[in-house]
Amino acid sequence: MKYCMSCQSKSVVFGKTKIKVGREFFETNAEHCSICNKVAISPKLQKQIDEWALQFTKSIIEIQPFFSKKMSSRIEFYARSFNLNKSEFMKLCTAFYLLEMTRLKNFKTLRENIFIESQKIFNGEKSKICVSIKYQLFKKITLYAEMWNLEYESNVMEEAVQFCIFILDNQSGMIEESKKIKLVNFVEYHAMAS
Amino acid sequence: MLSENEFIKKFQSAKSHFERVQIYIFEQRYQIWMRGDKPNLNGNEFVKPILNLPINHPCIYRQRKTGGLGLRFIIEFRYSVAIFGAIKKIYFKGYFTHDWTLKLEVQSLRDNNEV
Repeated sequence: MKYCMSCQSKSVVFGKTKIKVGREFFETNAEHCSICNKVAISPKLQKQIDEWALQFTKSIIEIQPFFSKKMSSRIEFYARSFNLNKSEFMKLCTAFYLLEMTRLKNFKTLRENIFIESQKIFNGEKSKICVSIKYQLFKKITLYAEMWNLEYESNVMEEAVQFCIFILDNQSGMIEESKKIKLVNFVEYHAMAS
Repeated sequence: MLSENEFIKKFQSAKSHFERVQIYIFEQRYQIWMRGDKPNLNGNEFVKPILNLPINHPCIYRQRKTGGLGLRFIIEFRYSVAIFGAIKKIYFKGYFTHDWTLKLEVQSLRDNNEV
């Protein structure tokens, strides 16, 4: 047995171990610590995990973002106008936010400003909505949560939906019209294909 | 990907251990030590930026007390990763094993959590 790099106990073995991916478990043979449960993941093993996770036709995890009543009604309104269900609309908003909006040069400032403005508009008691997501989106969401120190994956979706609803409403004139057009096109294209 | 012999030659001709780390990462000969119950599924995103650092990037070497066979020191350094508009400080700790693999741990550092 070897000493673990993390917990420093002599408990590193090579053998069967489970790696949690969303709510599923990937079973493999790898070097792992039997005490702290750390696993050595190589790019090859990561690729195997990716391939395994992409085989799931169902979702890999269910996240539960919380939204105020006002926000929920806006989500419902836009989902209906794009002929999508609420869950699909929220996933599209999250994808757009992560793939397009985070690339903006002034993203950090915009994120802060929109968050402050949204809190003023969409305040009130919050209730949860369950959204099932697949591996590709889950992976991006976890990366964003890690980078911005967000505690839960659902916080990412809350942020993304809030951001996109703010763009679509654009009552304050804070957002350039081009971003709204880009978002509308993005959702329309994907709604057409879904 | 380099053959075993080519890789060993490249390892031997490297000017610093940090450059060796870069070779291992480029050749994908690394293993990240991470939590099995909540693994970082984007581990490679956090090591890729190491390839863009200069070969004289400041490193610390410590005697190794953990792990298996390999070079008897641990290499440590800090760097930054920029993804999704956020910049994160990363602490890297790794060692070279006898089977030409780089075993490493990458931890994100928060301002109040310096290692």
